Amino acid sequence: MASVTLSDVKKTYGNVPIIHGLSLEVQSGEFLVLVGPSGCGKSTLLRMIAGLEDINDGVIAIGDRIVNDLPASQRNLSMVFQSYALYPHMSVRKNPAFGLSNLKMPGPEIERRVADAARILQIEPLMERKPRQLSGGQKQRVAIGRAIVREPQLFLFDEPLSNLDAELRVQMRVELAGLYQRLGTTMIYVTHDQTEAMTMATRIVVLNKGRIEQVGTPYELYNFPRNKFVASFIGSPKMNMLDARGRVRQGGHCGPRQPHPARRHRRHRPHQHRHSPRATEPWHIRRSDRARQGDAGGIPRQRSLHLCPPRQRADRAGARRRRRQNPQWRSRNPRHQRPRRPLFRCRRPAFGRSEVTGHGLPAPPQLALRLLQTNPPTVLAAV
Amino acid sequence: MMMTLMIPYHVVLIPQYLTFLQLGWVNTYLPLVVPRFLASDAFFIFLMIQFFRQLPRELDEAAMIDGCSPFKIYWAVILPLSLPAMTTAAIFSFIWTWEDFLGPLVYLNDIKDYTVPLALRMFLSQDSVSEFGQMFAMSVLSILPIILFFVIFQRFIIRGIAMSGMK
Ligand SMILES: Nc1ncnc2c1ncn2[C@@H]1O[C@H](COP(=O)(O)OP(=O)(O)OP(=O)(O)O)[C@@H](O)[C@H]1O
Ligand SMILES: [Mg+2]
Repeated sequence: MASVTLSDVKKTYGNVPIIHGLSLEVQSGEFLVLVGPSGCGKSTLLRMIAGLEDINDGVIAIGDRIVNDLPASQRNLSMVFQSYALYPHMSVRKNPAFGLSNLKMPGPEIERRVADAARILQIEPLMERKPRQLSGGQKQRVAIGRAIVREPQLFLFDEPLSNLDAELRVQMRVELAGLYQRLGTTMIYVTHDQTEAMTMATRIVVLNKGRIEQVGTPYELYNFPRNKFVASFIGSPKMNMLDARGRVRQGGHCGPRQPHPARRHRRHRPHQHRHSPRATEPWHIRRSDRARQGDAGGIPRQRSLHLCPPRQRADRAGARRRRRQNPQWRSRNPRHQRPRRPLFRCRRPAFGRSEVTGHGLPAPPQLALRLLQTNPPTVLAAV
Repeated sequence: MMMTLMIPYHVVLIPQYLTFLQLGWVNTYLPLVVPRFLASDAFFIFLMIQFFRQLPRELDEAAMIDGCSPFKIYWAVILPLSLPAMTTAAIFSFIWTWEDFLGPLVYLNDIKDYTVPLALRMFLSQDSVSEFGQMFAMSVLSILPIILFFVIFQRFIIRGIAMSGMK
């Protein structure tokens, strides 16, 4: 186990800067996931840590050893490539053993380690086969086996599951997570897959164009994205971004739950507030009682957010009409029941924290809604 | 190197002849055989380079992480994988040497040393009637070694080409 420290690492290919002064601290025993759009430099970063790519500036340290000039083989790490990169001419047994014999390890020890890895990864029946006789998932396991037999301080994974079909990917994900539990080694893992990132990571690094956008636990990134990029990158389906100008009234529910003290006296006076931007989950959006009564609504009052499917709304309107005629009437269709809880309410100001006025009122001029059921959103006219 | 590939054989023939004359190799098989073994044909160099290029770089990198020196990477990883390219080179080299006409014509003077193409040529005579029947029979016979050679080695080509440690 080792920590990894990058300070102000830069990389250019020719004249093109790829990584612009990146600093990152990976704690010992951490499962760090790198995510980011294609071409943002994830693989490059990983390869720099591995020592397969020179760095132009900065310092990389593994543990307390500066490894800038250390060749890959002496950094005591293993890497699993996206393409597996098994040696095609060596059997499943020889593939992991090859690296160990280069370390001048005695034969019985090599055999013991290979056998251990085979048992953990359940590839024992395949030991004499060549890589071409294996399925994708089996190759994947052999590649992981080749990585773990060295018992390194640090594992690097470059999208190891992206070549597998969905089902196998889930299975391998579970196995990888189990492996991490068992070994507890520091792991740095590049992926495109949101689910992998969210479920496996202890921390996630969101990269964009060679810069870190945010580092945090999956929970933090999901609930408190620091900027629009992270908000739209994390989460599936993608969060909806609206350009919106909300009006906040005290007691309205587009704004903060606690009204700004300075505004408290302006009760019921609409407040032009070019803002009220929210990144929010559907379960964060509920219509307040007041809004439903047509009173002092924030967004709902503007009739621009229709988060229920239109059909249901119509039905509910019909039910209302019936009930007006006969107060005793109750629809038995569950969809006609009024939701017990308010339907819309923007609750959690999720980004723009840095600009929060002290009362959770964020400033960027978007309203972002993450809507799970409606894709494409039926909703979403701007206020 | 492109240049060497483009220079016609006939241009280098005379300087080559002089060189081999000084080495005292004329009228032996050496001038025909030794350059082939040294892979002096630019074509094969291109063939090999092209082949190395299409080997995934991850393989080298995996070997690097596994602690191989550059020579060890070449010896233990790249070389075994380039068997198909080498076989191809061997087959071509063999065929070209076997059916070479000009080289033997220049370097061999003794009738009893003549190679097959030269011998076949002897069936054709300018003054008397050419014996086409015998010549074609011999031609058929003369391609047998090539076919045999090919049959033996082609299995390496096919076996090696499936590059399958990769996805
Ligand atoms: N050898 C190279 N020479 C020049 N540019 C390169 C080289 N390798 C990568 N790049 C550039 O560096 C940038 C980052 O590449 P990198 O492979 O790190 O992206 P990535 O984040 O891993 O993308 P993906 O998710 O698609 O794998 C890309 O814009 C790419 O074009
Ligand atoms: Mg990549």
